[in-house]
Amino acid sequence: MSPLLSLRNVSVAFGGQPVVRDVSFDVASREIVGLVGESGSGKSVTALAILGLLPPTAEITGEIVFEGRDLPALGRRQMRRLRGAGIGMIFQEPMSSLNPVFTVGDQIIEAIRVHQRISRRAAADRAVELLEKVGIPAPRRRLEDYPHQMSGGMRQRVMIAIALSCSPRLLIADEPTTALDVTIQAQLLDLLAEVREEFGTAVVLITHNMGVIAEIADRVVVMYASRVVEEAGVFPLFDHPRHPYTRGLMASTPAMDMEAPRLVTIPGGTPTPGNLPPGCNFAPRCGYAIPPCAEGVPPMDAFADGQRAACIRARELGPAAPR
Amino acid sequence: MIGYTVSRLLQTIPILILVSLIAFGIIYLIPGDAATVIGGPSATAEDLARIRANLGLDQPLLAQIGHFYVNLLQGDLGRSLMLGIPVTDAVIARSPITISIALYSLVLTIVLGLSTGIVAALNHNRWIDQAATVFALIGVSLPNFWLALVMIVLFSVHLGWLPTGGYVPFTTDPIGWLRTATLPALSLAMLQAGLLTRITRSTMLEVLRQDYIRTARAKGVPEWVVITRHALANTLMPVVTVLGLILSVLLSGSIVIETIFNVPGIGSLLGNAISNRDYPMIQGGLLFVTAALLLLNLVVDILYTWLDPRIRVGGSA
Amino acid sequence: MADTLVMERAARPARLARMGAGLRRIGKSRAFVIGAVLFAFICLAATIGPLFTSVSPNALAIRSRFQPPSMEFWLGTDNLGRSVLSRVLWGARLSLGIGFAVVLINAAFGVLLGALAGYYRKLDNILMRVADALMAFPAVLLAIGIASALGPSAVTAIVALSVVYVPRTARVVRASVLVVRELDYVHAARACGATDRRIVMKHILPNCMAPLIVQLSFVFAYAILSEAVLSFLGLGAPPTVPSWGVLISEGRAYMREAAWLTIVPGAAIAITVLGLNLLGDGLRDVLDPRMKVEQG
Repeated sequence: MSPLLSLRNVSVAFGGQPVVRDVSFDVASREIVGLVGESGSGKSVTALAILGLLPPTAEITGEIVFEGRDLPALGRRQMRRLRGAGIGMIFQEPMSSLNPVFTVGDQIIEAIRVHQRISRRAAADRAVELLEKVGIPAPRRRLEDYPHQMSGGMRQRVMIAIALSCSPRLLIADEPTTALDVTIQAQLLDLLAEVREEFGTAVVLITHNMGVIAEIADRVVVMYASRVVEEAGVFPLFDHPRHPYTRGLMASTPAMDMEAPRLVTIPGGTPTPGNLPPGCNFAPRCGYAIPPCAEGVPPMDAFADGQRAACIRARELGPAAPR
Repeated sequence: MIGYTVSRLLQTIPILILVSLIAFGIIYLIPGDAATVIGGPSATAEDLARIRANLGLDQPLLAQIGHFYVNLLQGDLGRSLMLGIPVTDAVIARSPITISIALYSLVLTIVLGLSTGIVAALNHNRWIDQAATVFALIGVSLPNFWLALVMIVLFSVHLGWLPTGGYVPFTTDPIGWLRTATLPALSLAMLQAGLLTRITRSTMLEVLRQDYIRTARAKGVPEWVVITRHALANTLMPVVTVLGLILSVLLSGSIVIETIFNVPGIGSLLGNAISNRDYPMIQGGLLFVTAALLLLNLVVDILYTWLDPRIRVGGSA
Repeated sequence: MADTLVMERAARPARLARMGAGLRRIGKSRAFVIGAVLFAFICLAATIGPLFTSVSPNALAIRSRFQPPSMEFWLGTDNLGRSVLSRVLWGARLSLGIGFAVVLINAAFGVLLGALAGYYRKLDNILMRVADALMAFPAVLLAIGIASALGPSAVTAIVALSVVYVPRTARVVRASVLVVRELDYVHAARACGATDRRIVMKHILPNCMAPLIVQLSFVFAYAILSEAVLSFLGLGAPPTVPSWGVLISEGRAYMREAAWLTIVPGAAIAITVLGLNLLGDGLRDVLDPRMKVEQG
């Protein structure tokens, strides 16, 4: 069966400056794929590239195939029809992602009526249904509320309702829980898992938090400094990460209910796009780096269980001991 | 909301009292004996006495102030020295003319300023944006009375499209009104349109960077709806706050503009009062216009709170 | 006391360094550079221009009335055969002089009143209510009212425009004083026993300079525009002295046959004001992009 979404050698550059390089991964129907990396690793840009929401100055190469159609090749109008209807998206900041001058109901109804020719009343009924689905109490009354009258968690639920309004096959969630507090985070992740069960929606979940990944992802794509460095099922990845960066990421991840500084154990910082080291981007921070690491970008190496890692020493070092 | 309206009203009252006191005080700025200055060299002793009595200068200062406020509360702004009629009557009789031109000018300002600002923001950093920015800058730098004269030379003298001056009331002849009011309104509007262009452009650029615009696009909303609905609604609100300032400059500009175009509004009434040293008329006109503006600003502020749901509907979060 | 001295000494090089960095950034602002060039051009023309024009601004030459711009008279002649170039250059002195005087008065009284209002909260209430009342009047209208009472002269124009714009400048100064007075080092200076006067002069005011300078460049622009209106209405400098507004007013009668009489002085005003606006915009972008300037 062909995947729902398939990225092949996708690169994005701004003014000749690449911010995403050679990214390839697949998302199958009903699958939850975690896209992990530090801020600036290119994961959000990748998501916006899928939806065609990057500014016109972005130079995109490679193939992004969704349900057999290459998205960058689509016309503006076709792409617009696909947004919301085929692919829904949730953003990081529920506080600023809803328009402050329209009611929540208006914004859900708009999302429905952009794609479906139904009356406003029918759309309102559907909006109530959606709000109920995403766990908002007294949904009919809430339609009249403005975003500022709701808490952050509520607003993110509204965003999910908007994203689900036209039953998309794919939902892209960009750090949907980062701005919220921990108990709300867990509730929203449960909601996303339910959404997949009930609507069969595939999810691309972008996060920097391995705890979130462990909670709901089926498969994980790890990005570092604009490239994919490892890809694996969630169990193989947590059992035996192959790339030294993923190992560091695991070691530094706190339990999900703990607020802790992340990635404290990896020395140094993410290189900026304009300032990449030659060869493996991670080499300068890597405890296992050897001179050949600086000589060329390491190719993806395939392992059992479909695990892949871009590290020339991955085989030699062997899988990390299970935690 | 109601609390805000009341407190805003209460704030306006002391300002209104001070404003009227300042307007009242203007006559005491006249160097030497005010009556002599007003009467001119040919004035007889009786003339001077009459002027003093008219202005209340023959009474003690406190009595004058008391008188002034008592009259003011009854809507009495004194009697014009030149026309011999109550200032209030004269101002009210002329105000429809000034208001109609000011409104016309406001519409031109908003249409020109908003559209240029929006087009500039949507084409950020392209040549059309730069052209709009230059247009706006030149707009705020031109003396409007000079612009009026240049437009008369161009449109009236050379092209002969529009009359050089005069005024036809809208109620008698709408086309005639349009012909006579267009140049005055346009020369008043150019400056303000420049100001509005700058504000609209920078606000729109700010709004277009907001997350909710991205959300609207992600929903699949067509781009023109994103602009006209989502972006514009948020751009207009800050623009409403400068309406008061715009009206203020429009009205002060009307003195010169009405004089140039021979439009018999409040502006030319004041212009004539100035050349005839008709101080009650100057004071009264000044006070009338300023009070009207204060009230308009009040309305604009309240309108603003009504437009912005974050203020109109109290929030929990 | 010794502590405050040490602090001041430490603060001074930092401030100089900041100013140096500011100057370098200003050089990169296209608006500032163009504005500065335009304004410098007009100022230069006003100061040395009259020395080079062979013709006196009041030299009558009945035979050469209404000459359009030519090689002999670059900007033409007026109804009495006087050189328009010469009159505009002399007019520049008056118009710029009045503008500059208004700016100086604004700097002095704006800072004084703004600092008093910002620093002494009791005075603040009174001063700001008066400022509110003065600012409630449309700017030009108030200037016209005051000037009509004082009688036409250049001094009248300066006084009237100062009354109009000083409250606006004082507000800008007050706003920054309110921010700066709560900064840590001011609290520290106070804890060290520095006097109010010393705190205001040494610590607060130097940090309010940026918004003040921007505001003054706009005041200059408004003053030039408003002075022209006053002169046009016969409330500014008397007609024997050709300020730009007077020149436009005189030219108005001959607009049909000699449009240059009106266009030239108006263009001079427009260039000056454009230059000052660009200058102010550039300064504002460099000094503080979020700063709002009171205008009107």
